[in-house]
Amino acid sequence: MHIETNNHGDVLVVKLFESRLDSYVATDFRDAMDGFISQGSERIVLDLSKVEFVDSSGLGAIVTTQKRLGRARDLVICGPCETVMRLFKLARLDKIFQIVNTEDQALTVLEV
Amino acid sequence: MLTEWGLPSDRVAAWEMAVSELTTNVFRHSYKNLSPGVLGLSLNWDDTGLTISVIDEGHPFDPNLVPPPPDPDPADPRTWPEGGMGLMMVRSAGDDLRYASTGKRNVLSLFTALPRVSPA
Repeated sequence: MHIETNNHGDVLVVKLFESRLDSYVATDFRDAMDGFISQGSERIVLDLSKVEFVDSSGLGAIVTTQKRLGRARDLVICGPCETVMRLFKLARLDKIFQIVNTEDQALTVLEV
Repeated sequence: MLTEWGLPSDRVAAWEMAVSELTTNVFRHSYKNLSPGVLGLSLNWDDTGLTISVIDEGHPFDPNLVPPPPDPDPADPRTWPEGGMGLMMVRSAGDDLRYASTGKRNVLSLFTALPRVSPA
């Protein structure tokens, strides 16, 4: 799985370079996010702009990350395509995630 | 094949997601503690609509008996759903999710009322 990260202050920006976040990738993704949190990241921007397809396993892995962080709104998602955004809304996950278009907007939300 | 039939690309993407969810469910659950078995996929488009069926011979599973996940409350992490979203996503891709178990065969069909129009 291809993930790239960079730090902006105490915010970790995680960009997923996979076209699919599905049941084949979800476990690795969850473990990677778990690792970032274990290493001390408490606020995360998740950039999904390269992702074209998410299934319920992928959504579940993102929710698990949010739960590990412990508080709603400490995970900001940016750049989901229309198809992925529709799924977030369908599962009503837009109630527990902040979802914006760009990384800059995500960092503004987290007041970096 | 759905694309070759000239069906709209946004609907094809939703059906692809539904097929992914349904087949993943079969892989994960249908043959638990059983010998590996059949996974069939059938597509039928006629003058009533499109029917996508996933067929297996494992444990019976009627998705219509599964309650939907709770509405997530931002203040209560216990309500944030880590699973149970798949069937909701499948249902959203069509108009009706039908289940039939006959003998040892389970057929789960997603029907979409998008009639095939025969050439004049």
